[in-house]
Amino acid sequence: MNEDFKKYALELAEKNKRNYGNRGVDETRNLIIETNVSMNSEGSAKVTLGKTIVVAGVKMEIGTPYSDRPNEGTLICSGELTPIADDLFEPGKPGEEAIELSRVVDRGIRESGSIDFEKLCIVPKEKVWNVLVDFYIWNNDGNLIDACGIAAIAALKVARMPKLDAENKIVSGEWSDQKVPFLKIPIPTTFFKIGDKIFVDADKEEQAVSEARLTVTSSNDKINALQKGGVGAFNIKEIEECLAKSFKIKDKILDVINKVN
Amino acid sequence: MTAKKTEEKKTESRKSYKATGRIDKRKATEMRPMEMSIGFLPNCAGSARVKVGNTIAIAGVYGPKKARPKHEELKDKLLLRCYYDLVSFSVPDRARPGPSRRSTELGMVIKSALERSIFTEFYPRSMVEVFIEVVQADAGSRCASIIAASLALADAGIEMRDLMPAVACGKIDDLVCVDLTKAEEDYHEGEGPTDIPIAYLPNQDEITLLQLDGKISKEELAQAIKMGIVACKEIHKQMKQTIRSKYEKR
Amino acid sequence: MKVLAKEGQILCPGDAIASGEDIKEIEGTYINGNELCASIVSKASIKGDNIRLIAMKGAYLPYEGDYIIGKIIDVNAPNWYFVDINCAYEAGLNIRDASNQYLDTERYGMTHYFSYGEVIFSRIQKVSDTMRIDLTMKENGLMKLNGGVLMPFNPNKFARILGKDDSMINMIQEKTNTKIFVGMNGLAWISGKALDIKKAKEVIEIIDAEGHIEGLTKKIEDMLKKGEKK
Repeated sequence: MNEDFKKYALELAEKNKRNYGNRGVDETRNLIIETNVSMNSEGSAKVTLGKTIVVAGVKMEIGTPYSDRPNEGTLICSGELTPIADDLFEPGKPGEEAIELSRVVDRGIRESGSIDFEKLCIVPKEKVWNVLVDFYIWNNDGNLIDACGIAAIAALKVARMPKLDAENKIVSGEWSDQKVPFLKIPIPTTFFKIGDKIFVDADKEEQAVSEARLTVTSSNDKINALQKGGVGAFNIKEIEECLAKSFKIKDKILDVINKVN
Repeated sequence: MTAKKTEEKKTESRKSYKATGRIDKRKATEMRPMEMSIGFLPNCAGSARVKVGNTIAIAGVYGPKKARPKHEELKDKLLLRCYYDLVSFSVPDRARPGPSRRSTELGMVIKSALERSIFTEFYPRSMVEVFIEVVQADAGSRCASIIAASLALADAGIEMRDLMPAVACGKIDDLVCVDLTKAEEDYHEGEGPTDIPIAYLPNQDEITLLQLDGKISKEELAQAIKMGIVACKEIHKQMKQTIRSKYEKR
Repeated sequence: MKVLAKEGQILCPGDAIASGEDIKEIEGTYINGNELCASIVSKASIKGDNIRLIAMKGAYLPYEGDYIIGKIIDVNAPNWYFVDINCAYEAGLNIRDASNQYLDTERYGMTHYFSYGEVIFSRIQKVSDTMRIDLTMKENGLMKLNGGVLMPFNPNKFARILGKDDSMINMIQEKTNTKIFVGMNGLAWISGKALDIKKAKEVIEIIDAEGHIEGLTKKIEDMLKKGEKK
């Protein structure tokens, strides 16, 4: 049966059409970003990518810095394959897929230098800000990495710093007028290989017949993170094709993120 | 002056909650504004979003489907599972993602409440899963969750006796009232807060969830529950309207 | 009996439909005291004392005689194929009901005839009191479906997708140049050229989403005509 769907998807691709909706092989689905969807967070965003829906939120806590980086704050991204999102997701501890998802999003943000960690130092060697970005999937229709990456970035972009009292303790439920120091916008774009064709932003049915995927996270003109997944493989020509396309797609997504505030 | 006298004096000078009125200026019997919608999660058999004041809960239902694990299937009726999850950034101090003792208990009491509304005998050997995510919490999250879950079950086409509204009634200091906010739950003057979440099946006239934290007299408790039932009937109307308007507007 | 609901009214679980001594339970209702109440979200169809509820949503429940589309999921027990029929219960297809002809599984093996992941258009032969479901392929028109695409739909919209005397499905097949099998269990199977399948899928999706609306046939006709011009 999967083979039949694959044949159908590839035949459509020949005509530059996709499974659902009116888009071509290189086009992403409609992207909607809503921010501040949860008032107790420092910043939050809901991303709707076609029928994929994810929500990300930022919370800040005070912690001690790593000894090799005494003047820098830290970042932890974590996501769950929330069982509300898909009949196949099971409740319980995050599995390997959820952990990979979290780490790919985390690396994109960290490596791009998106957050100015030095500005997140409160008392050198003693107190720094820990930035905790959590995302939840509400509806899985494929390409969760891109949806979560975009949601995480949108939530960070609107995040406010919590208020500190005279003893450098967080005043719960209050915020300063400062935003989380934010420098760059890393954007993940994931490519799915079906047969010998490359599909951008696969939906769930397409993803099910894809042998391999490649996530390219870039900011400005630099590539910050790559992740190849799936049992299939890419040749060098295909990788170059993905890299070239990723920058074009990134600019379109950036247009949407830039409107967010 | 003795310590006892100081305390007495303090009590005298302090105005009671009944006298000062509620923090957000509501009447004792008045609920916070509510928003409800259904059917926004395409993968779920049924789904709903409920906003009560600043508390937001979403619920998604899967099934009836094959019970898993198989050894837990019930031969003569439906296996209902209910998961309550507090989104980490829904509260001022981040909640650790994943299950907690609190979420496990709430999942269980919500399940027990909802099960009463479902014709479980119609679905032998099968399973329905209800997933609840509290996105924003300002007290009353289990009640908002029950409303959302009940709407989602109806949206999924599960056979039910009635829709199930829920509300936290209670007492703040000396004022018996409904739909407590977080600020009210944190009001510790005088007798402090008493929180009594209830769920109610209107056409069976049954209370299906009942918990209490605080200190309250028998008479005040009876008064609070009665006030809660009146509030539930109001919520019930809005739940029905939510379902009707989805299919009538088009 | 006093009818309380109105024709075309959207009913919620718990809504009273009729009252009186002589009320009778029908599908999607239950008796609560002396009232007949809805147990599902539905639309009331009332012709005098004749009341019927049209369910808006709800999972497929299997009945004897239903035509369904299933997927072979296990071929491990002797003489049995296990079939996912898009509901809470797995169905079984015994080798003796799998064909009008003799199937020599001793010689060729079970998977020679039906294998994992394959799709069949089948009929429910028996539903036991414990929800054991037996299928049959011994009827004209029942067959293995090769080389098409499956799509799920709301099983309550089955009648709308088929249309009166199959008029809707025939129109879709004709205008999109596809071959479509529709299972009562909320699965459709479509074969043809990819672009044609896509078109047919989109049409079925619209019926699925808007099946409770009047004037749907006209809308679908217009949509299919538009497709023709292109």
